[in-house]
Amino acid sequence: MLVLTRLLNEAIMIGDEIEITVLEIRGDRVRIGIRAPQQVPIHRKEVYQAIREANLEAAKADAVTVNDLGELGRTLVRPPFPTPPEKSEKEFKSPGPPADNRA
Amino acid sequence: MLVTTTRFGAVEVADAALFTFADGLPGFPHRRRFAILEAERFAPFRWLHSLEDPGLAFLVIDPLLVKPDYRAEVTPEEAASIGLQAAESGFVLVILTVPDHPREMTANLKAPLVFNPGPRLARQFILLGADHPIRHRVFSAAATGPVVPEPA
Repeated sequence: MLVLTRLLNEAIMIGDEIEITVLEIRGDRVRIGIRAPQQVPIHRKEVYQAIREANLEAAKADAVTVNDLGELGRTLVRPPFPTPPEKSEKEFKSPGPPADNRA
Repeated sequence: MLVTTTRFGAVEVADAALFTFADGLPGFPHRRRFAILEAERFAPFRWLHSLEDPGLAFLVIDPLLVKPDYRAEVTPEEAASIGLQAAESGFVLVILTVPDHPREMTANLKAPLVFNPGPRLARQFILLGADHPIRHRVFSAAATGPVVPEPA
């Protein structure tokens, strides 16, 4: 790990496009500003770790278990939407294609 | 193309089902290419299957089947990273974790998978805010008959 010491308002460059600035220091708390390209994901470490662990756990799912669920899976239905459009509107609709892909 | 899988043997998938995750997924940063597998026998579940690792696959599902009012609220900048504009729609799937008792499976609503079918780009986004659980029960514990997804 590279360790640098910064004063308030000083910054660090990572590569050409990532900049980290110490915005505020108050007691134990440091406020850090991060400038980075939009495709670079930035998250609190504990959040990222939690997602990582969930993915690792999820990757263990096996096909036999799911086949057992046939009937149960088919009971999952979308309830009708009696709500007004702005309530059921979503940023992304799902599911999408592909309908022509059969395993 | 033909995908080699440990769970299903060799599977033929259409190009439209192939997606690229530019940075992989958390935990699998080097696994970039995946196929969405669908079949009647496991519908409505699908599998997000690695093209690069025959043993790597995620059970996934349309989140609206699990939580009818679910919204994958990503920022315009995040959407742009897979070529989506705010007004366009991609489609969303969420990853399921399946414990020993499949009835207890949970959906990761905190980190949905968003797909852009045009350029066939996808990404797992981590939603901000505390509302979204990483492990949301898919089936209610008391259900015996037809199951409606749990209320929010």
